[in-house]
Amino acid sequence: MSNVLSIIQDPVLTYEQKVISLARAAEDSIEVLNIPAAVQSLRDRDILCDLFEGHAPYRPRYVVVNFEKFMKQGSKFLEIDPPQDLEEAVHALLILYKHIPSISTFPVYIGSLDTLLEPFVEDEEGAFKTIKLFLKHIDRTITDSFCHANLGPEPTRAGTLILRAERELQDAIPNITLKVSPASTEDFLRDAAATSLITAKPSFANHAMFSKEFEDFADGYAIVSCYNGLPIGGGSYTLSRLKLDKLSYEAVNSADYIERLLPEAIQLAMDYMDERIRFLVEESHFFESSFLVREGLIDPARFTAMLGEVGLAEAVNHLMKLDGRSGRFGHSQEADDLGVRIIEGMQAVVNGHFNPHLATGGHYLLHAQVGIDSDAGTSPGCRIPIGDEPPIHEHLLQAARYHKYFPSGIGDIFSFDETVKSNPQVVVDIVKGAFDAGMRYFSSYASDADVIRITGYLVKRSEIEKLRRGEAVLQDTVALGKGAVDNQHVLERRVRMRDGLL
Amino acid sequence: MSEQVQNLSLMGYVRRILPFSSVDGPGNRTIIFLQGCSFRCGYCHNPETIALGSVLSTDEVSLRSPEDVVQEVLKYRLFISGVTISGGECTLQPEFLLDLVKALKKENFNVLIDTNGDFDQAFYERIRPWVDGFMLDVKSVNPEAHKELTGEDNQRVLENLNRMVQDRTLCEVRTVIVPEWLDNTHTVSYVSKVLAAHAPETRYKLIRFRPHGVVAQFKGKTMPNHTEMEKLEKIALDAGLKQVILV
Repeated sequence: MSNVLSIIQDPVLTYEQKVISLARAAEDSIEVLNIPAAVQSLRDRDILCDLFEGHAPYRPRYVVVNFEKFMKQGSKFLEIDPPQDLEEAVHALLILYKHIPSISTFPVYIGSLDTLLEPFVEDEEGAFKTIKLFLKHIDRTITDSFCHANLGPEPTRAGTLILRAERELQDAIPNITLKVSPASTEDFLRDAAATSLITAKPSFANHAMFSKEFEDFADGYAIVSCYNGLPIGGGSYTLSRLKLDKLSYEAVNSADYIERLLPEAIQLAMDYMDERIRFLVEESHFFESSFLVREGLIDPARFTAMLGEVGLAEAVNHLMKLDGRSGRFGHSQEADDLGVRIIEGMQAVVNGHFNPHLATGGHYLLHAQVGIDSDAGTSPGCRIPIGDEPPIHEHLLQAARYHKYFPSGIGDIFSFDETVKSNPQVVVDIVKGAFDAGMRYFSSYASDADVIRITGYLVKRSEIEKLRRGEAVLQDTVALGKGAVDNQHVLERRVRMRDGLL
Repeated sequence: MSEQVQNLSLMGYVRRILPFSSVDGPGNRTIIFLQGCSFRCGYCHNPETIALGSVLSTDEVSLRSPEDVVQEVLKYRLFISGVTISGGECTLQPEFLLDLVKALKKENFNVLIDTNGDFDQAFYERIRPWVDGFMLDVKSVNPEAHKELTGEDNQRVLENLNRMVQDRTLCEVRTVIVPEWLDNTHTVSYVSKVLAAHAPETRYKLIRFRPHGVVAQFKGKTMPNHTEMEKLEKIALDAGLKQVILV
């Protein structure tokens, strides 16, 4: 219990952060999962990691509430009537947000805010004030950056007001994604691109690609947490990840890796997640007790789960050396081809496994995980290591090769020279081209912005500096951002389009 | 033999192709820098692009066909709004430039010409149907100052300015502001008046002189201060221009 006392006595954590940490400590004091020795060994070797989900799953990792339904029916449990105007709408949403479970205890998805609020926008200036206060409330009370709002694809007055408010607020929360389709007008896209260069959001999602993958779900998909595509009205029970680079250090060569080590590790990871899902669904009584289920705001039949991976770049580079070849990931066709073979191998093993609880055909969805703060020398998902990035036009085409394999999320981040702010069409052109080339998700910010995208979430540089000085900060993700700055050098991303360098 | 000569006439000296640029016209653009310039501006930041002919090193400049250049640009097509052909001074290789813009247009690229304006009206008539617009440098409206700065007269530049404004083919005009040497007020007033008369929506970019990387004569000159730039911006805005940008 020394951990409990150290949480209580921590000089930097806020009261709220202590309460959450104490809840985690309580959960981790029991052992209820049946974990085979081979799985435990994979965890002990730092190859498999459950990303701090805790020892006893009592809520899904990601809950993707059907807010459209909530706006129509209100909530009996919360005693909320369907909203009739903008004030009632934001009030109802803010109440519901406080009752959505997740691994972080904060909602990872807060709705397609533009379409939810659009019916209530009458006087635009009045609506602007309400929307700005609403967004500020979210930033100050959902104190965790893995909280995501969606916009688009069609332009709306509410969407434009949200972008304007974000440019003025420059807050880290919520994360925002604009779903991009031919219905997104150039003006709306330019407005979004300009906003992203000021405050690192929105990111851009390839709507056609995501829509196709989630076409079996009546209400489509949402982008939640970092950039995860999941069914609306459902979510993801769990997410564990494999460190592909760590695993490669046990290989004899690339064939040994792809044919023996990787399938074994993936199977063990899925066995581990199967056990977590079993406890959550069959023993925790979450789905029997939650008012969200009772009122149809989430449906157990729309839950899936995700298998993540990190460190593809480092794994490929190591395996190339083992094979006696010289190319490196992001710079050699041969190395990139090996990367594709690894991911295709993963996909085959994942699709060969069946779990009846998974709404996506009984299969886990692949996820390019963005890493955790303590990762050092392991790049997120399929990203090219920071410091080794090729020019942007080559980078985009390289990244696009991997995006189709990851329905539950993959993305790349580009830092632009501040001069691009005066020509945001540049970002629009690049995003559209990237999506035509097969990219799924694109994030941008300007190199001089305070709010920056760390790996998948947003943090203010100024808050990281505060934490460095030993001061308490409101949002728990600032500590994660600080770790990523120190260990993954996220402030050293190649700046694009500065002095003719791409 | 004659075919060879004819093919050779289609080749041009290309300094460099920059896949993406955010400062050479609307949106993201690929920039084709042709070699050679008719001016010798004291504040030129790219003096290596001036020479044309036998002095060229083949390491830095390549002799290429329009088709070869277009093939390279096609690699970036997905990601760009269009192509800007710059220099040096791209009109110094008029026949190659014409063939290049025709080849780009065949692929439906939006094409802008970035020029110092030092070409005759006959060439303007020939190239105009093949391009989407021009980006023009007006360095000084005073003929003596222009000659002192560039080594050349400005008559053709001003003719082209007026012609392009009337035809509304002008996408952007740029003037580099050098304090205490050029009559910046006169130049900015003149250009603004011409633009305001027919095309007030044309972007006018006022660029601060920067003393890095320039010839010795210009090294000692200072950058214009904020007040001076704002004064010039006000002149342009008061004339009725809609887009005045300080760089």
